[in-house]
Amino acid sequence: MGIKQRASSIRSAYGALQALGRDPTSLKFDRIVSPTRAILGNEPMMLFGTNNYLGLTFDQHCIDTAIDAIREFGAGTTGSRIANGTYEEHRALEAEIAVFYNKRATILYSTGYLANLGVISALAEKGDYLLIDADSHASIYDACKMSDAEIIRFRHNNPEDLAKRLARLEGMPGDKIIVVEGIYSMLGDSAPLAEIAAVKRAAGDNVYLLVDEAHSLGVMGKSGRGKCQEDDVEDDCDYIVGTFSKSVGTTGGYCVSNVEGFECLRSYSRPYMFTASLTPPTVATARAAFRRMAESPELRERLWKNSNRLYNGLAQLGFDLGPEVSPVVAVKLADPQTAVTLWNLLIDAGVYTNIAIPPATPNALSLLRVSVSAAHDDEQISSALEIFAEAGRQLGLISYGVNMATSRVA
Amino acid sequence: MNMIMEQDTATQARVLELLGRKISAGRRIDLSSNVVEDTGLDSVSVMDFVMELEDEFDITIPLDRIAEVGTVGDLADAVEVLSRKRVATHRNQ
Repeated sequence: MGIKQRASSIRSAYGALQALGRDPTSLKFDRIVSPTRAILGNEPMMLFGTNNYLGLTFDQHCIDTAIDAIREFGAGTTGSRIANGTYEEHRALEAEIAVFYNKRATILYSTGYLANLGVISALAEKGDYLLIDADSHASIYDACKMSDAEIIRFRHNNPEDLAKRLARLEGMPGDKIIVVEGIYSMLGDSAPLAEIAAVKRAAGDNVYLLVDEAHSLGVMGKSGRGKCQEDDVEDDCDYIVGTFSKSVGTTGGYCVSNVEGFECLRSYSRPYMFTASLTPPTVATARAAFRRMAESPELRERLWKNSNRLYNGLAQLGFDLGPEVSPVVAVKLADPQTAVTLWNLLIDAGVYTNIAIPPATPNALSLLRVSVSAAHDDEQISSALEIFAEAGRQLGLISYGVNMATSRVA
Repeated sequence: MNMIMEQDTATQARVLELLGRKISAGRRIDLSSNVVEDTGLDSVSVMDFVMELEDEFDITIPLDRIAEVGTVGDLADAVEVLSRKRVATHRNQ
């Protein structure tokens, strides 16, 4: 397909959805007031479609240290980590993340996307195997494209299916690297890591486990380290990848590991070597946010309280939701048109959510991805539930009357 | 030679039958159909179908092999080659 044909095909695919109201791909916030409030056009909006799980984007200490850093070190590094882009601050952040995880080493990347691209493509070479969960994030699929390894998908969150596929590779030379996520970004479901780790152990030597904790860092585990800590399998997780763009409230990515020779990636992981390093204020923000996560377990408690309330509230209203309570609450809808119509109605009433339609979603689902923050207050959640009830009733998606619905969730 | 021809046909028939269950009733496919353009399946559905083929034939079909596949016939050929490779590997073990 040529450039012109592709543009025309994209326009025809999305044109019909854009005709239903706003264009989901080019929405613009005019002001961000707080982690949970923004101005869209002239209208105030409650933000229920971010990844700001702990609400740290406006944390005063994070902001102050970022301002100090930009004054002290400048706005950017203008170089990659292997050239002029490594400052004392980058090294300090790597050391602090290693301490946070109690692992030997950390490598920073400039985004979470680049961390997956850089780590997965460098670890798995020709003759190796990458066994990835079928619902993996695009960054994992893109990393696979960049790797010369053979790529095998296994059924989502299905350890038996993984075991079956590993068994087919028995006796084949090459490393086998299993790739899963702590919490999956679209449906909010989490990986059964204890079972997956057991499959890995049973598969023998040269089988490794990489867990992307992008959506579970700061969210799960006794000290916020993620699903690996929650399931008590951190020693089985050979590589843990994470991002600063969710709970940490800025941008950037990393990988931590105890595996001998891990830091050699600095010399051959191309997304590490050939992009500018994290800016000084970004590094300072991340350092402050990691400290805040460790010192403030009450943020995590608040996040789960809010998650339970929103999930159970939407379930009681009669919406069809993702499989488990999580800070990501997926509202399943019949088709992309319904999803876009509901999304528009909610924005009209002052609630912003994320829209997710095929092929970005598993099993061709059309979803509204509703996400919760520790920074949401009780009144915002009550108000969002009332607005969902009204919009859902208007579209005939739920059968409860609005009074009954709101009284049930009050 | 005849036996190999028969095996090929059986694989092709099975791939066509399994793929037929995935596509909408109005579509007709044969070995010359393009796996993506003529089936109406998106990229994720094609990858899910490949997972089914792996289980049906008890083989590993790496995703990069799918990138090389154009038609349903190509896909059946790939399944056939990987099945024979598997049998050969097991004999050598």
